[in-house]
Amino acid sequence: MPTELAAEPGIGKRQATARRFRRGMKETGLLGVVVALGLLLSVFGGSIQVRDRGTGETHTLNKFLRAENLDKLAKNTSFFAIMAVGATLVIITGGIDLSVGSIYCLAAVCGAMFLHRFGPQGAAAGSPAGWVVPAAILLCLGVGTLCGMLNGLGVVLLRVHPFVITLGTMAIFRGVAFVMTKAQAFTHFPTQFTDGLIRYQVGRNLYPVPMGIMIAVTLLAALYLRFTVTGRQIFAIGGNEQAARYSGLPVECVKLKVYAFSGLMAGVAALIMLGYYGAASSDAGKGYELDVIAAAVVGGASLLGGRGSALGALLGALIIQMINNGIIILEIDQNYSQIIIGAVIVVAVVLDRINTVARQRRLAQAAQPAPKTSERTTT
Amino acid sequence: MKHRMQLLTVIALSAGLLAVSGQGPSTSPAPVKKQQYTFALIAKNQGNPVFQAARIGAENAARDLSRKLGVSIKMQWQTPNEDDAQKQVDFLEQMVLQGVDGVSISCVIADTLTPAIDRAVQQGVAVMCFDSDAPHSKRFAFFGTDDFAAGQLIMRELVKELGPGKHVVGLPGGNQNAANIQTRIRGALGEARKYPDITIKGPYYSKETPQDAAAKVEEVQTANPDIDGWAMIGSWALFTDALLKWEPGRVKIVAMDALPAELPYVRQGVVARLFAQQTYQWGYRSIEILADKVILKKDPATVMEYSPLPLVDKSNVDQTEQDWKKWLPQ
Amino acid sequence: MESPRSQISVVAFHEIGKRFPGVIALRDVTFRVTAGSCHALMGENGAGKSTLGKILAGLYGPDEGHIEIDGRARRFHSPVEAQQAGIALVHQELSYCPNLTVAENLCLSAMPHRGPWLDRAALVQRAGRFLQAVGADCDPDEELGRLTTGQIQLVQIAAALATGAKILVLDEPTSSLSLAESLKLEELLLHLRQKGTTILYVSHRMDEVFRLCDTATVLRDGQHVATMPLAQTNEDELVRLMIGRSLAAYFPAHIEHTAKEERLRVESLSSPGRFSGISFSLHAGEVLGVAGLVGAGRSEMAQGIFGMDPAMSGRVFVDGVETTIRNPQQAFQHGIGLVTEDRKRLGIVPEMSCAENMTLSSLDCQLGYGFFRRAVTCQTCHKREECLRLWQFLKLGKERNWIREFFSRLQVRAASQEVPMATLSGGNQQKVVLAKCLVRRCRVLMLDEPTRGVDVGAKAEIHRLIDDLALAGHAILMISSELPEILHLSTRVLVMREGRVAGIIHRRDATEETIMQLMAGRACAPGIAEATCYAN
Repeated sequence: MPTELAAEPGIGKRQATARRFRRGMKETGLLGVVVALGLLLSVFGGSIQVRDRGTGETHTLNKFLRAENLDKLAKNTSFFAIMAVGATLVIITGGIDLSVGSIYCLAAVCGAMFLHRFGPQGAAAGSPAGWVVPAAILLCLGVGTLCGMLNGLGVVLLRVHPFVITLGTMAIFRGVAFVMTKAQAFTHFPTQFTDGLIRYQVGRNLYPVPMGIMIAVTLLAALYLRFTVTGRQIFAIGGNEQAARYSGLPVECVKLKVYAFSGLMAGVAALIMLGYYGAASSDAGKGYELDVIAAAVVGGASLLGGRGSALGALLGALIIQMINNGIIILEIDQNYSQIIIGAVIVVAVVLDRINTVARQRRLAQAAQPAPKTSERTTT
Repeated sequence: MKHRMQLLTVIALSAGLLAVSGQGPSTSPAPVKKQQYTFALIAKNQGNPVFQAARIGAENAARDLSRKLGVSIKMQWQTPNEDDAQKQVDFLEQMVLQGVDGVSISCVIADTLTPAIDRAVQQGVAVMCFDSDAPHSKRFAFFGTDDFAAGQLIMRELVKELGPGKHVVGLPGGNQNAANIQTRIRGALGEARKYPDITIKGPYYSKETPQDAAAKVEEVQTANPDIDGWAMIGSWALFTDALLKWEPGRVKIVAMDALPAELPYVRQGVVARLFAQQTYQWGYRSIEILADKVILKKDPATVMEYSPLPLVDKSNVDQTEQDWKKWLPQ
Repeated sequence: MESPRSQISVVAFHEIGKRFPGVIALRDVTFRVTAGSCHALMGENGAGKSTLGKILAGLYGPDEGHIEIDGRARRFHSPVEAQQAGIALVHQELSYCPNLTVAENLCLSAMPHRGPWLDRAALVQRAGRFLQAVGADCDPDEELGRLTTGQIQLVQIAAALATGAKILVLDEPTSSLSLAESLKLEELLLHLRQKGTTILYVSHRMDEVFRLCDTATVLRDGQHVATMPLAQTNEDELVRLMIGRSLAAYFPAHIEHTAKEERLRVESLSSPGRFSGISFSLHAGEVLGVAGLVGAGRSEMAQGIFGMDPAMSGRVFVDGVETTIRNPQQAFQHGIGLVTEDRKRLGIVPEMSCAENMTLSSLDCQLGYGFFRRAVTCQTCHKREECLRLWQFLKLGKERNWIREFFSRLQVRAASQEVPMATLSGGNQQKVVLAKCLVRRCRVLMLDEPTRGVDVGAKAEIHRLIDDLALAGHAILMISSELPEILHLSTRVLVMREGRVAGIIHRRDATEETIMQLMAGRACAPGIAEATCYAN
């Protein structure tokens, strides 16, 4: 009897650890890029003289590495990273969500109108009761999740490609926001929410809350994908939806969940926006969906489905924001920024594709049985 | 293999960045007199030609003033691609971290930018506004159009053009959230109330890009053929050729801004009068005011500096064209 | 008008060999086709008939050997070259553009045009001519996708003739045709032969072959077995040539299973266009082999039972209780599992590891209350400790143990549990897919072509597995196109023909001939009413 790779399953444990490490390698590569970019920017960015207002001394601080800059970088990344984590889950199932920017806008606007009412200039002004802030948080997250579920229902019930559905809801959600706000911007929120919560200041001009939320969300999503049933089902559906269906997976249910999750993430990002910038209008988040998808793709999610990681999404968003930051620090003409970022995205995707093809070739070679074997096929 | 690929990306990236990067600012020793100043200009969006004119004005001012004052003045331009208050706040914060000496900003949403401006001022950066103000912030100056008066002016001139009798006037608007647009509209509507024979249709908001605005105007005109006058408090629609095919004189148009692209409209008689916003001056004057404040330590005479709105019609359209050629060398 | 060159061979195959990754499709095939003849190419599924036809038509190039056309050695690098040499192929799987009209499809490779503009009048006229030549009565302006399969088949033949072919390769042409349409086709072929066209007729339908063709070549396992004039042979001999192999060589000694309680019963299952009036019952410990030609509706029936066919009507009883199964999830909950025939497309998730693939169907089973869901009771775990799932989380350690157990039981050969599924050979992949149902503890197993694309060694192992499973009390429905497999493993054989049950024979009455007759012929098994037996 001809044998192929004869090995007892027991050996698998060592190989299993090796494989898990190799899986982590994907993010290690991204991490390497982040570190390299950081080195680059700190070396070539130069330093700046800062006069301490308190003591009157001047310090020389590295433009990139100074705490405030890193803090701003983390804050700017948080929006895109959080939404990219949501988008990654959708992309892993083989779908796509083009409406994240609009859900972000609608959730922000709903939260803004609510908070404005209870803010210093609102209709119900005066020291707001303790329930206002939690209610606002629930409202924002609820609106985001609801919009996500609508997307999911559209994809599942109408059987239309998610690209088309979310293209439509992209316009609908933003339109609803526009009508609700009557083209006004809403500001002046209760300070418990802004300076007391999201814009909570630590030390000198450091605001760690957005970064904290970003890391927490990424961690939770990573654990979810790895250790829960639905996480495994998400990868299966993305890998081969028909096979997943034939294996008895509740495909529609899972898809609904991921779209709802994507909406929820947009709601979280909207919360941070409201807390940090203290204002929202129906203009918010225009064009963000493409930045989010770019972050997810740079982070290793395959648009064909079946691959992706939460940590990768965060690193992808970070890389793109670092390039934005770098363009300003290095004083490159802003007109080139779009070209550079576009080039980075293309390069990242091409490298990923090359890697995939190489991996498939390795798999195919490994799958070749001994040449003397003849198999039967139906032709 | 993947590792190697990532390494290659990094090398490629750094080569790219190096190729395009300018000189980093030099670290000067204990400052005696500063030799280098950087002023930042943050406009509302990249798509509107008025801001591109402002950019050139600012660059020219930086060049001229460097020569005049014997220092090196650099102008850094940071503008979001579309109207995005959040991005403007981000840019403002980053400019401050960069150590710019002064910022001039045209605010998409005044309320969103006010806290950021205040924070910047607190950290010792001089901030002024142009075109679209943040009146409740700690900005030290504003240079731009008196929007309310401008709105009134446009409506008044249009009524003069239309003559006596009943007329229907269309009122286009740009970004609904921009304070300056709202103020102009209020001015126009207020003025219109003085003329009982005038009916106003609008305001019709659109994106402040030429294509969107032109499409909006055409759409409204087709749907409302009784409109015989347009009070364009913002003339983005005229930055394209789309409306050139309108029969001159059938519909009277009086508009704000007199950019080069709009001059053919005056020549052909489709547009009766243009009132030129000093968009080039927005940039030029901003740098001048900032230079005064930061380098010469001189405060501006008034906080609110309104630029005039010279009239451009058939009689001086050629002169205007010459002026533009001087300001925007192609 | 008989061709004067009737004795000259117009096509000659010399030692043709063709290899696909991991498979040898053809080996050392040599024979000749006489001009103006209708030459049948016969063999079982997988014998290499279609591959040979495709090589002739220029779709593949032979790895060894060469083809001679009219005495000259030719090598075609593309179907276009073959077309220019006068060879045209009508595929078994109809390939056309359903959204274009008949006329456009016909003239696809050479659209008549005036300058850059399409000449619609000329297009319709040209198409009309060809349609008339084949006797098709369809409207040239009709969208091809709207016609019946038979009409599409005729249009395909017209398209082949439109290229001016003198050699026509027909690959299982009547597999999708009804009786009336087949007769029409036969008329056409006779007409073409009279005009001097040479026809290579790939089929395994005896009656047609004997009616239409004058010579036959039999292939088996990719090798040429015999070529002879049909006048000198008969059906039985051809069958024996097609199948003949020493059956005893590697099949395990069959253990007679006594069928026990009824696990699954179906009554009058029908799905319009796919199958109708299917009724049978399946017992624990029994293997019900399902035989039939391609297109008989076997896979469709299995998928219908599995819940993948919303248009299916009829009644399904599991353990005597009538149930409605609307999706595979419900099927698994009732203990019914399906191993599909196309494992690459429908069976495996190639990027996930073997372990993950194996437990894919068992993820959602649990006792107790789920997250947002009512309690899900399933046949699988009767004890909470056995479940792979704790609320939302996977018990990864338990999963690993289970997989280890099944890996050794099924003797799956892989570098480790964690390697991606795509690295496994066909046989091992099939074992993992089978294990998927076993991990879920399905009591009814439906296996669709369980040894397709599997090498000989793994095939024997899978057969032994099926035997063991039956012994252990599973009820097994096995769809197979390989008669030896059916004969050796089945307790009973259900033969399907054109979507209906042609007969259910017990093991002791089943022979290749009887099954073939039921599959391909017009006979009905005793006990089956003739009315249900004939399609039309």
